[in-house]
Parts: sequence; C-alpha cells; structure tokens
Amino acid sequence: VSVADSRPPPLEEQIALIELVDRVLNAGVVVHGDITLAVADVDLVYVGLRVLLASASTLDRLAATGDSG
Amino acid sequence: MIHLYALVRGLAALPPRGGIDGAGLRAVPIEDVIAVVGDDPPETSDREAPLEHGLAVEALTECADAVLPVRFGERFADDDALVAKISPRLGELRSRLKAVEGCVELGVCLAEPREPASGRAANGTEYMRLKLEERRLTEGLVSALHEPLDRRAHASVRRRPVGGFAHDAAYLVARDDAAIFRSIVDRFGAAHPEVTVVCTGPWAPYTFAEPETRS
Repeated sequence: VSVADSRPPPLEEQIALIELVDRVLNAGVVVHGDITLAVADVDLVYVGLRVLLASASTLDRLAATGDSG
Repeated sequence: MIHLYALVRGLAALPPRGGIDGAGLRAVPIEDVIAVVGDDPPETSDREAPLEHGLAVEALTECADAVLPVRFGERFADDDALVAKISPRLGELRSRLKAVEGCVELGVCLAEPREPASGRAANGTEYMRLKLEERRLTEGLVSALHEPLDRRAHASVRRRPVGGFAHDAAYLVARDDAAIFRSIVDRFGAAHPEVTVVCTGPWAPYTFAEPETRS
C-alpha cells in the first residue's frame, strides 16, 4: 500500500488513514521492549495532517453547500 | 531483532499479508497468549512503517478471537527477550483480551460549526453572549451524538479534541453491533446537516488495549 498515490483519496479515506496511524503511534499495549523506536518525527507529521484535515472537512462542507456567507 | 505487532487469543491462522516491508509474521505462544511478531526489517524509520504495522494488526482481527494491538515501535533482541517481558504481565493481558473479545473500535469525530455566529457580533457584550450560546449549542450536539452511542458501546474514551473538532471519541462495540452503531451516527448526521460527523473503523481496539495511557 502506498500513501503517495498520484490523486488524493476521498476525504473520508484520508481521515481513516490518519485515524489508523494516530492509533498505531499513540495507542495500543506498551511493552517497553529492548528498543522502542523513536517516532517523534512521524508523530509530528501525522498530528499536523490531523489538524489540517479538521479544517479541510469544514472547507469541503462549505464547497458542498455553496454557502458564500 | 523482532518487531511485535499484537497479542492475541484464539488465532486460527496468520494473515497472508505480512508485516512491515512484507516481513513474514510468526506466532510466539506464551502460555495461552500468542505474541505475533515479524523479523525486524533493517530500516523501519520510513513513514510507511507505522501504516504497515497498522494494516498487519487490522488483518489479524480477521484471524483471531481477541486482539490487543501493540503500539508501533516495540522491538526485542529475540523470542526469549520478548517472553521474559510478557510473562510477568500475563494475568493483566488475559483480562484485557477478555474485555475486547468479539469487539471492534469505532471512532467518531464531530467538526465544530464552521461559521460561528459570534463572528457577526456588533460589540463585545454581544460577542460574549453569542459565544456562550454557541458553546451551549455545541455541548448539546455533542451530548445528543455521544449518549446514544455510549449506550451501544461496552466502553468509550473521549479524547481532548484537537483544532476544529468538537468531539473526538473511540467506542468499543461488539462486532455484530458495528453496523447499528454506524447507522446511529448516520442518522445524527442526517438530522444535523449544519455539522460534519465522521465515523471511522472498525479498528482493532487500540484505545482499549491500555486504557490508562489515554487521557
């Protein structure tokens, strides 16, 4: 599976992808293995995407309703 | 090195989809709990590794009665090191496996209303009044969304919403109830076209695997 597809997937699919990665990085059983990978950089990238999506979803709704205010 | 994906019970077969970089999955039994591991690829720092970890865990939910997802990044020198770490916690892990057996996790997000009325306030007093009214409206919407979902769920965890979200929660739901749960979210969305609500999942029960680590 490639996250770098040429055309952007639908919004719901993007949210699902972020939700999955968000869970993988921030939730689940913590065992404290011999080495726990440092994921700080990856984490920041996805947290950023999550915030971006929050605003994207509202923009999307604006476009859908055609409400110019 | 080996990479730990999940702790499971009632494993029928390993999913054909491998782990990170296509690494084959292997079952390491520790009494009645099974650790699912893969050989650690030499370079796991690339951005797709967490996604591949997640997809391997999701595939496992189709093959086992109960799955406790392990957070990305847990590595061990070998099977013995893994068993030594897991064995003392078997009792606690068994009870969590029991709690999530037959269940999936569903995520529900509610975006905040896009055009707040307070933006049209003529003065400070009116702004404060509209702001309070907006907050009451949003809280009412969140309750109307969350309460019926919570009643359907075995457990729920509300996360502190990040920018743009009024509600961000995870629900532990019996696998057979997932469709009904989604239809409740859909009905809410249809009744409230002024807001955007998104339901994601079913996921492996990440949020309920180690509850004390979540806020």
